[in-house]
Amino acid sequence: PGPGQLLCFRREEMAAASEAATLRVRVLLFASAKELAGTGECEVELPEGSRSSDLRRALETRFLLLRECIHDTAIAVNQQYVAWDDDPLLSDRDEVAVIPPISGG
Amino acid sequence: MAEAWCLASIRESVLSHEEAVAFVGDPGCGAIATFLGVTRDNFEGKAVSKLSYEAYVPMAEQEMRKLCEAAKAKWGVSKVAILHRIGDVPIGGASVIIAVSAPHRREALDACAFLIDDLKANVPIWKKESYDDGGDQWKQNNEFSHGGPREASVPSPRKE
Repeated sequence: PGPGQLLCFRREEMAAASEAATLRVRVLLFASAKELAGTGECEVELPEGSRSSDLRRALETRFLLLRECIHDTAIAVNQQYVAWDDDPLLSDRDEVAVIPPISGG
Repeated sequence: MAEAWCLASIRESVLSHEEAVAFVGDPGCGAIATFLGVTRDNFEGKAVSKLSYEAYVPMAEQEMRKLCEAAKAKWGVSKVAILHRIGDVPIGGASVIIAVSAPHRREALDACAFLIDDLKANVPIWKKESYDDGGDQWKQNNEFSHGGPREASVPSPRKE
């Protein structure tokens, strides 16, 4: 491979690196959390490597009233329950639901 | 393709007990147990006008299917139907209908009790209670554990 081909490969690496710098998470809010936030859905952009605790801080900043109830909530990532304490890493295009104490049945 | 043995569905219209019973019917089973959760007209001395339900629909149906799997694993039931309504449910209306068939009554009755107990602990559905005096509040099930639910495969202890 000549020098020209090597240069192309490096440009692609740099482009990929800048694209991976942030991730976008789709957040769904329900019940009391939805009422306090004033919306049932939003998109949050976070730095690559962010965890659910980072998302929580971002939500509390964006929706001040959410602080009233967020400590009682659970979350689900891609429709699987996760404890906030597990503090999992988030991935681009994850769907995260803020789940206040449930009351089905 | 095998015939479906589990019906787990969130509905926006009036639920049908007949539909649930018809679904779980199995000539090899001698028992069908059912449960209906209906809107009560009172809470702590206040007159209730209606209940309004909201759900995280795809996850709720997935969690309901997990309950069916758990019931089958624990009690060997034949078929399960879980229907839950969202939107407004008036006094006397059914918000949830559960039906389960099994060869004998013990398994059907125990599985049915487990299904409603664990639905209350795990399925992401919420109800708002509205009162005649104009107030309302989101309800919270005691079964729901802070920070996430218990495993559906463990039967809940009986609540008083």
